[in-house]
Amino acid sequence: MLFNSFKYALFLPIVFALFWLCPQKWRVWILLIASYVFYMSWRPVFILLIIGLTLVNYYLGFAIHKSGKRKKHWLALAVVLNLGTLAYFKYAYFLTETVSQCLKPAGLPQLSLPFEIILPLGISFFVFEFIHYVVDVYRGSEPIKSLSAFALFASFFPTQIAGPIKRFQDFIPQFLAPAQLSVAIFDSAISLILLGLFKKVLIADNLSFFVQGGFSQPHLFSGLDLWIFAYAFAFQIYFDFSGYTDIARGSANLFGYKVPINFNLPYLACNISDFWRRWHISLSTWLRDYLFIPLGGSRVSKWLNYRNLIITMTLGGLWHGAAMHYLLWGLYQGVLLVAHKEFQNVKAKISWLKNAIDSKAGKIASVILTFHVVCIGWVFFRAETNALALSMIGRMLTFTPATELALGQAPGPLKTLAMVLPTINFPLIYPAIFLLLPVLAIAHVAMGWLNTTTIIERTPKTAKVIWCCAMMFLVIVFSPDKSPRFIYFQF
Amino acid sequence: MQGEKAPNKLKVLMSSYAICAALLLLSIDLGGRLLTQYAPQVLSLSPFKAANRSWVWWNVRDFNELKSAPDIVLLGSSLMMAPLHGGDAAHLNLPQNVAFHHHSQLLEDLLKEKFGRTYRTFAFALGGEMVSDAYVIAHTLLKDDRKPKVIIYGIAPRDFMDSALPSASSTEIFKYMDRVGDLSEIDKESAGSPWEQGEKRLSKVSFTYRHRPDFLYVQHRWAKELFRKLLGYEELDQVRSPLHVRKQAFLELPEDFGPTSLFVTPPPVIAEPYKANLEEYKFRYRKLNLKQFNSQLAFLERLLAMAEDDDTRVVIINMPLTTDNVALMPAGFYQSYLEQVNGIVKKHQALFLDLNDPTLFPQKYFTDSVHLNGRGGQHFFEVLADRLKQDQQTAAVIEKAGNTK
Repeated sequence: MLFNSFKYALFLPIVFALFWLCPQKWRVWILLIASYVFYMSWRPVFILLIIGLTLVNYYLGFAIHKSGKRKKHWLALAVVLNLGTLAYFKYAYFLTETVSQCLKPAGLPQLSLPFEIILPLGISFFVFEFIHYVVDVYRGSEPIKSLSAFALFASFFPTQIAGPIKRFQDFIPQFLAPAQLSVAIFDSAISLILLGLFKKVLIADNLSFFVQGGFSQPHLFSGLDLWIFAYAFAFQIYFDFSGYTDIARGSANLFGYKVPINFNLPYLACNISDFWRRWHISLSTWLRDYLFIPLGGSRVSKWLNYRNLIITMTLGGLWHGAAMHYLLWGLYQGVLLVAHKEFQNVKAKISWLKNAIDSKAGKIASVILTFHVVCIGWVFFRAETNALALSMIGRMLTFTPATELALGQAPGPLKTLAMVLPTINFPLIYPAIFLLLPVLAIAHVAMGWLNTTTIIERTPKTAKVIWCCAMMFLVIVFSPDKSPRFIYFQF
Repeated sequence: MQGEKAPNKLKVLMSSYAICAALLLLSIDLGGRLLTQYAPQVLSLSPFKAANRSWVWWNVRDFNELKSAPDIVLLGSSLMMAPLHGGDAAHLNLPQNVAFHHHSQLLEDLLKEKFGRTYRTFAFALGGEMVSDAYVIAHTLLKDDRKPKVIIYGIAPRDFMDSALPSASSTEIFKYMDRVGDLSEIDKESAGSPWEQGEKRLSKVSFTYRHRPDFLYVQHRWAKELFRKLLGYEELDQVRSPLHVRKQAFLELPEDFGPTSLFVTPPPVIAEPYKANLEEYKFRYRKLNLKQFNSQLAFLERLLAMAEDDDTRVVIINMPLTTDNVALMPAGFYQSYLEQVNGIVKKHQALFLDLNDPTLFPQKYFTDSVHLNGRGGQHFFEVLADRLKQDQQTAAVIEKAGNTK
């Protein structure tokens, strides 16, 4: 069930009404049943997986908590079970294929799986939540006593499929306390849902059609064209994922629960380290707490610290998908973080460099540079293979002109610019795309600004009514008939 | 006490700006509905103003410009589209612009030769046309003073069962014809899932939802205007992007073709190239959806019954296919398709011509496993004209339909 579907438009109000009309003691159960119905709307059989993992982790949590010396063994069992499940569903094909590729030169027989494996939706997210739970119980947190609350923590439908990855210490107390609904909470929840839908259906979905055209036939386009596709994808993935998060947060708010933010104006980051503090915050903090720190974190020698960064980011890349291009994207992020650390060391030693970078102009230049470095990373992320990504990046960095065949379609002024892109007439988005891209850069700031409730609170009611009505209208009118899935659903 | 509580609750509800916004939207929606009903000129909404110009849009646009009803209307999918354009390109030795070429000069000339009269044909031969699409075209456009004397409809098994199609109402043709005419009588048969039916109902109730394509058109017009002003770029209605890039986009986007998007050129002197497309058809035929098949058969019956009532002679042609293509169909399906179609055609006293005969159309006449090439198109219309002349009842109707001038 997609958040931007007609089904969800019916499902959410029904659950909302049931939740608030029923007594407090039933509410966790209502949400739990609703969450299971939500999960079963795709492939009912996978409900067994989520219920199975919930029971296993619930009892292992107690086992870890109660056993003294052997708690490490229980933790190891819990982590192996969770990661094993993830590896089976998500990485079995990838591992088989990689091993086969390695065996090929030696002339050894190729491996193949004798059965089909379907990736359950949201598995990467709820498995990470389970691991966080057992590790934190191991570190001394109290396990969750209520099975229904624990089951709901992992399956809560607004965050079930694509996060944000929650922390049980923040979330469980909200379930146990009586939920409150006020007009202000209701209004802010609806605003968040509308804002999320606006980002998803109006911006991300329309950009996706455009991006698809470029990434499927990159050889036709010039380096300049490919930069525009990379910018477009940068905004597509941001608006898609942050739109999803807004809908998730808004939906959770309707039941009186708060879900953490996941984005904080990421494209205004002034370096790559800053970017990771602003992008997919719930994942980057999870990676920090449950991978980077256990590896030794930064309290080790310089080279071990760099190793830890690279391992964390590469595995983080692989978490996004079982494919080499995600692995390379993660590795690229790790290398960038290491390079940034090294640069920080150099900067600290050269005062004029430090002053230049810390100046206003230096900061603006840093933001622009970081954005472009991130965009190059997105090419690895979006391109279907590493070879395609590398060829695209090569064309982008050398500003390769378009092929004569493609350019032949372009009129005079565009030929001079060696751009094919403006001549493509895609029905939904064109010709607004070229007007839209610069606007999106501004919108990126504006959307983050709108997310802060104080601004909305200070606006006069009439303006809020008109704004909200306009959003409803735009979402209804401009939703494409065939909306692509949220990008992060596949992870 | 209770009397005091009610207004308080209302006050609380009305203090929510989200609820007020929803009410405002409902009022605007209602206003829109009233305006379309009582003062449609104020909004000047028209299905002919569309953001995406699909093939059916170009056809309907030209059909509406006809001064009177054509004598013969051709219906069919790309299997009819290929011989129509290719046949004329070969016959006239001129490239045919698909956006504007909506008649068969070749058929008109062949009929003139055989019957000694002149005929005006019009073709709704459109890529992906299902039987339901053919029915909605006939139901919406071929009526009143626009009724033809003869309908020639080329069918193939794919038009009855296509696993790439979720429901009858999901095609570009159906969606557009739903804007042009009133298709409420077939709502139940055309919508697939209960969700789709729900969406259909919503579009009936809500002005905003129903008129989404109109608002999209307005956005396009404004954006193009702005683009012109900012960049001084004039030719925004032309489509220059390479077809293979656009094809990729059309997997997810609605069809859109400019006035010079596609030309069908005369066949080369040497043999025409053959493109293998069996993989595509393996996918289309992979699962026999009996519900879809029966529903499409029912649409064929509706079309024939409507034509019977209108006194229009219908000729159903089983279009030529390669033997490789027929072999891909589920076991026993082709025979069952032929028998059932034949039964319905007989019931409504139409003419059934089975032209799927490899001795008549060997592989040299095909451009792939289903589409005829230029010479194949020419041959197709020659065979068709002969068969029309041979059938006495049809020949009599055609004889009467033509103009002696």
